[in-house]
Amino acid sequence: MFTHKKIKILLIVLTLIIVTVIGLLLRGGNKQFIKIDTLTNNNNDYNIIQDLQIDSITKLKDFPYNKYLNSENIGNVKSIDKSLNILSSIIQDTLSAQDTLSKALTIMLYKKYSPKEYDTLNMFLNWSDNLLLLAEKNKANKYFYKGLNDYWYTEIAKCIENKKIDKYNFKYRYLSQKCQDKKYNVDTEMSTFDKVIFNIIEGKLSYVLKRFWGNTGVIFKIFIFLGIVITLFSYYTLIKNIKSKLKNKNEKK
Amino acid sequence: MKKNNIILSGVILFLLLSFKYSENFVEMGTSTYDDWTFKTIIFKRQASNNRIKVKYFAAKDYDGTSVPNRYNSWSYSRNIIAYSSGTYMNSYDLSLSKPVGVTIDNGVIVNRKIADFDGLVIVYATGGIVAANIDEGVTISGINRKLYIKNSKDKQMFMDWCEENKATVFQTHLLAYKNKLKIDKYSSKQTKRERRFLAVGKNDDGELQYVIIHSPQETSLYDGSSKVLDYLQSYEDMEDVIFLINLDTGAQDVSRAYNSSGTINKAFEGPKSRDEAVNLLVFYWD
Repeated sequence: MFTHKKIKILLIVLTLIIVTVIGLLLRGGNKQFIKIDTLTNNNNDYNIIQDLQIDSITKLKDFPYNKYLNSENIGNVKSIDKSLNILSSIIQDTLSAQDTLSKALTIMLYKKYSPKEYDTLNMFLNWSDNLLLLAEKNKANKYFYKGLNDYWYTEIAKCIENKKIDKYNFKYRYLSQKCQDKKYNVDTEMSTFDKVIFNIIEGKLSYVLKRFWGNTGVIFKIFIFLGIVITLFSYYTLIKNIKSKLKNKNEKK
Repeated sequence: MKKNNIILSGVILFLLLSFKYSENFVEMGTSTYDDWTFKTIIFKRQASNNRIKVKYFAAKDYDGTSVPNRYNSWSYSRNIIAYSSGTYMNSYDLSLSKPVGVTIDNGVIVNRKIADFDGLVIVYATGGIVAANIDEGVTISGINRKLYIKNSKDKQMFMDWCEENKATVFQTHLLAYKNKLKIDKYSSKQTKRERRFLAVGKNDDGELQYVIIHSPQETSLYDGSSKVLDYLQSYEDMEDVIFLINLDTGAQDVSRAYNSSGTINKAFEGPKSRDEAVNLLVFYWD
């Protein structure tokens, strides 16, 4: 029934399947985010706003966005709060000050970094979460901070959607889940096979077996059982053949 | 004689109770327009003294209760006229799918991520439904300017308002707005399939009415919208079409209508069962 040729073909197919599954599992990737701190330009209390020569509302249209982003310590969100207060008091218009800094910290900041890498995306999400803390403390500027947070979550959720090919990657799944927890839905198609792979990556083998036992029909279970028996039998036959060949070779010698 | 009167009163009371809604305010039928046959349900909301109301179930509840179960609990003591699947979902696997675009269900945020559709539909707790063109801004009570939700700051103000006011909101394609077709012939998808639309407008007497137009005949979104707008403005005499939106007939094509006697009107029966619904737009008599 099982000729050598048939066993060889079967083994090649099974090995390919195993290699593919191992490959998918390895795509789980690194589970550690690299700490990036590109938004921190300096560590002192210097605030650029006073030196930008924006002393009236009419001069806001010439706001030097790049100079602001290159000099301001925006990594420290308290510095943003300070800038907003200074600018508001100089031009005597809080809403215009909010709009200007909002443009700087959304569109202009996005243009400057065009974040694509997972570590950078994670940094921006963490940074925008810190902005939300300010929204809770500073009721007068609540929507300014909530708006900044919304912009970054929306953009990053869109960015992650374009990386669907990485769906087994830990960092992809982490960021995707983080966006979804904050109600920014990320469109990811997930098949049953994907779910099995995810759970194996997460080390939930007993859960996978439990689901397999409880959620599959008798025929499927028999099919899988036969698959395992054939695989083991094939490897057994292969090892037996190799052993006998080696033995024959040694005897000939 | 007295006994007969009691029996007669009982029969009248039984008949009155067995009618789910007044058929004077709901018209269901089939129409043919420009060689195109479709089915319509006209809800005369204003004429019914606003007794015709709308409710939208946008997603699973916060505790995981599915849309069909939410509907079953809610509809138990209500007179349902019709229901249909609402907006688009992000996956064909309905167990995992989530709504596309900004979605809020009875004040609970479901999705904050804005989609490219320009229609923002608000279903009020009072049973009214309105659609806004996102590009023209949204007006809400308590804020004396329009909110442009493509702007993150305005969007957050809008969402906080929805949470406080228990509003229900979803995004969809705004096919026609203020009597003009909004969909573009060339940039819209050319896929032909059966379609379902919801129009809101005013008739000759200036009375507000809602119309569901179901096209079993396959058509592209542009051709379908164009025909529906023509039909409403000419044949149905809806002088003022306030908005026309698309109701999804994709993977979650659920639809049903009840006659005033409570029996199912089979002409509007969708291919999917209500148990498979992932969102539901319900019209009921209150």
